[in-house]
Amino acid sequence: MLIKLTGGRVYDPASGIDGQQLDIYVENGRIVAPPSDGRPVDQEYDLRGKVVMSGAIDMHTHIGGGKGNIARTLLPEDHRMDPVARTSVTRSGNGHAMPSSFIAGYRYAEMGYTACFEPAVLPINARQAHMEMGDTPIVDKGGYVMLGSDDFLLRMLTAQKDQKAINDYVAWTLNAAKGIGIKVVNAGGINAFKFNQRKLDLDEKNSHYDVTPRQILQTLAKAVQEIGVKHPLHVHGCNLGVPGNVDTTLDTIQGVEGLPMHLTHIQFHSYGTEGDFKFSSGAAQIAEAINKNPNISADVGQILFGQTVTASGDNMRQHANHRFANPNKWVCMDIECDAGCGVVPFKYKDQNFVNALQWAIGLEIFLLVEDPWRIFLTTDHPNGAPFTSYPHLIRLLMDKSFRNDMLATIHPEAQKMTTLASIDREYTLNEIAIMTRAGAARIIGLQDRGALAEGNWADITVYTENADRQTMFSKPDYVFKDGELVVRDGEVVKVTWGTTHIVKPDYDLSIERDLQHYFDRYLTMKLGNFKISDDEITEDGRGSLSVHPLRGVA
Amino acid sequence: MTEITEIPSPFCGIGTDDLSIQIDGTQLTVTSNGCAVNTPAFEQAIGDSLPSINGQTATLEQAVAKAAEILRNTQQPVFGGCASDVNGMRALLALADKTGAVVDNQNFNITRRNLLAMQDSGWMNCTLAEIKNRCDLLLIVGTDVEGFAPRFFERYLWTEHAMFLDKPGDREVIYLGKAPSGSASTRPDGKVQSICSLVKDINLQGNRCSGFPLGGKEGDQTANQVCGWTTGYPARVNYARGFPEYDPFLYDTQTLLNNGEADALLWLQSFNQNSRPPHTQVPSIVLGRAGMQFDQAPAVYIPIGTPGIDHAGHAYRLDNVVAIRLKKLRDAGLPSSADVLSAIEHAL
Amino acid sequence: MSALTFSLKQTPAQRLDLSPLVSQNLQGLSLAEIAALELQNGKAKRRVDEVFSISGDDAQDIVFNASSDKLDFIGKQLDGGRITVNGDAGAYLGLNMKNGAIVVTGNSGIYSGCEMKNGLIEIHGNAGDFIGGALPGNKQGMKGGTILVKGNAGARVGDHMRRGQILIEGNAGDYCGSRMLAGTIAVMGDTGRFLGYAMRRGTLLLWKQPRCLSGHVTSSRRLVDRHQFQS
Repeated sequence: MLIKLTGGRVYDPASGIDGQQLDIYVENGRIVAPPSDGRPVDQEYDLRGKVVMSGAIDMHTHIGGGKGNIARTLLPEDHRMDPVARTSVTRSGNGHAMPSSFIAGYRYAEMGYTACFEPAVLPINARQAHMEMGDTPIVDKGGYVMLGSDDFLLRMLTAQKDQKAINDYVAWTLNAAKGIGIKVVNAGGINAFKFNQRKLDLDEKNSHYDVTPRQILQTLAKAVQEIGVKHPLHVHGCNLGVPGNVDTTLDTIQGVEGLPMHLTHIQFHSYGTEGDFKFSSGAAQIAEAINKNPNISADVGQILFGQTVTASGDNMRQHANHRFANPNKWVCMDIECDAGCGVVPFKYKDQNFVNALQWAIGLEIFLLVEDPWRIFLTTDHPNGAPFTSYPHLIRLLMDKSFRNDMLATIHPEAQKMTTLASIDREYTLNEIAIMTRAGAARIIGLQDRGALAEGNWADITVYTENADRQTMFSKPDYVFKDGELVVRDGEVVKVTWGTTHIVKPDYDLSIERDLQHYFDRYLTMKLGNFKISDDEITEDGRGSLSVHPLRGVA
Repeated sequence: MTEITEIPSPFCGIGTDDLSIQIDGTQLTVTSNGCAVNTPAFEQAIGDSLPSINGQTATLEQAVAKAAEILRNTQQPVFGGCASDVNGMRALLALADKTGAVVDNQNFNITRRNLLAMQDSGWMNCTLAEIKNRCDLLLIVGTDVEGFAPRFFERYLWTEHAMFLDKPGDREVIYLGKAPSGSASTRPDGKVQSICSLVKDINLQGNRCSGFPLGGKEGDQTANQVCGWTTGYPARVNYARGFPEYDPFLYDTQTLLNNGEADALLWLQSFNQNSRPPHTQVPSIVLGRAGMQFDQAPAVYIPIGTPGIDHAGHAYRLDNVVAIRLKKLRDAGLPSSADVLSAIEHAL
Repeated sequence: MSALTFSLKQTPAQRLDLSPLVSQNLQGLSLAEIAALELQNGKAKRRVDEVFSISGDDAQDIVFNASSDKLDFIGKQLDGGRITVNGDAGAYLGLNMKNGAIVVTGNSGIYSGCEMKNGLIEIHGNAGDFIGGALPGNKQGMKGGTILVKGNAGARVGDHMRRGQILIEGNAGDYCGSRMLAGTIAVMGDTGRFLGYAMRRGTLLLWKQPRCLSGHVTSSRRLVDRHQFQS
């Protein structure tokens, strides 16, 4: 079927198109050239006066994996408030902070999102992550595989194995767990917590392994680059949430020595210690460092006020933060000599000085980082806020007077501690399209998504232009996923199943000799049973795998 | 005759995945690393594998159509048992969503005290490899570990190697409370919360300590996990209103049957021939492991294959984090529970 | 004006959700409008007049006749007025009630007076578990008002209770006053095991010597601050 999208204003930064009025043709799921043979289109959508972008991509959102299910189980009260009934096309479920998997897929699609990436896939829990994402309809998905606190890697570092061996292990793990990138969470810290260390600075040694987070980050960043994975090492830094951690973050940027590195939810890592409350914004320094270092990218992890739940692999920091749990209940787990997780419910309050300043710090970072290709729109769902708050966040970025009105309502001492009121920048539609589409696809390493060029998959979102950007981005007129109309007027009209994006870097099979020995001695599963096979993703008839090219590979 | 090695078991809950099994036609023989739980579960003969309607042999299509007919005309169906793999639970929940059913997995009354304590205050727990490599003191509270999982000690405690212990054999084990047998070990529900608080307090006082709830065989954790991500609640949900609602007390299968609230029962048990549905006068649809015998013939009986024997699948270990990949070992022509449940859904 | 009276035509097989039938919802509605309201009954939605014969006109004085333990959520969020239940009440009686009075002549099910804010609930028969408690996952039970049980109460009376008072004229089950933060529970009969389990503050008034106190099973941080005994 040939579909024509006629006359919309197109924002496609990957193709250098910034608001021009263009027609787009779609056939067999992909964007195609205008038919040269003059054959009629089967269906035409009149998009005059509408804004057209490719489908949005959330490059960091916790939508799959054990900690999400722990969060769901922990908070029945949060689900009771937001039941979602089934319709003739959709399944029922529950929403709010950690929605059930089907509802997460529908709600993402209803906001114009067509791909979501789970950033904390523990290798041992990767099956669960893929199974949950397999029950997340419409959107594409993928995961960053967590390394850095696994005992196998730390033993390699202690034994001073060469970089080649580490690269093989990293590549092997990516294949076994079916990921598209490598994530490191509080490098070595989750492991150190198991040895009863309660904090771990960048240059502090793990008491058992004698290895520092700096070493782990350098080694993994190098491995990611050398095996050709396009997504830079995805780093959740040390000292999350600790006042003064801006220095750790700046050191981390320097410490990676020019290698590509993505700093995630950087808002939580940009805190100074100035002022009466010994808590201040480090946003300006962080933004300056990002601006100066083209190897660095970041997503913000904006907080927005209200009830949510934080779910993280960083059980060292989550355990330290449990005293802020609201409601007062929380879960921490040590997991399988692999990593850990911590789930702590939070209620961010605009009249709480720290929360209010966190809100301002996130916005400062958004507005002070100059290159929209290297900063990404996230709330670290659900940790800063549920993803359903994105339209509100977009309005905060695009509408200075709205932002300042909100600023005037937060804790007065926090207002004094932020430069937000003096920042005039308003994001343009093109910049929003970069950070939520073109830039996200590029940083993840997606080959044929995030752009409206011919040959790309037809993931397309159509909005009605509206000065109230929150309204505009809340309810797209149309969302096409792989060329099929899945959302009309902000409601799912058809349920499809997205693909799972992965990479398959090469490795030397000899790494399996060491792994086999290690698995047999110490782990609780056979090596052969650990590796996830392709059919585990595809056998239900809905899932599929899309393998993306590596750097330097045609 | 072939032999397959490194076979994972869905039966024992502790993720045993080193079984060797000899396959002769449809007969399985565990040749190494069996135990009192796994060996009989794998070796059990298939027995009668024909579907039936009111005790009369029927085709699969007829049985599926009859099941759909029963469910179509209900006011409050209840789906009990829920002993299956991930795909089986997925299909069960999809059918429940469409028919407005209660979904209640069979051992939830035992799991309930753990979950209610967790939903009240949370916990700090760990997984099996953490026990194997780090645990130097194990305090066992009010349960008979060996009766529950015969190979627990061999695989996770009295191991030859542990990464962080010089002599795994020197670990200390303390038993608290009497040593009851099997799942009859009842402890008052409040104790669970006390244990969780105690573990947290130890961590606040400068030491590391984790809890490890023992429980979850025959798909219990699988049911809780899939129900968790599909509905937002771990178990005992009711779809009657068109969306899932959670009630850990009212939606108990036995309560619903006793009160006359349930007007149809679907019982899913793909692991255990002896885990039969509760006696009831309401029409019952039983998807049971082939060979299940009944005192009273259910309205519909569909013998199904066992995940990890008759088809591939996924099952959760009792530590709730690790899902194991179950293998297909033989082809006895038995359908999977997911296939049958989906067929019923399409026949509605 | 006479009491707005709902007489159950037949005990339903499935649970019936009566939460729409509270004074603040019915005030100003005609009998025909009330009759047309829908109630959830298992999977079905039924008109009120399908289930009840309706008479009377005073929405501030509601009566349920021939009531049964399948009738849940009676007086949910009640904000004034009086509900009389002739017979038994099901689960969640007076859930989140804000004001007014509910009288049950028979027994009531689990979670009676759950998370109530104010008002009075009087149960002439026995009450189920978790009276004056909190829904699963919630940390705050009853916050005000009074529950009077003339018969016995089940387990976990006043779980997570924060304010208000509960008087049990008969016996109370296990875990009476568990996780209680404040408020008063008085029990004239016997109490079960684990009395005051994880109780932090509040008052337990007992007419009889308890069989055991559970102070020893609470963790070190969960101190029992105050117990009062009276005999």
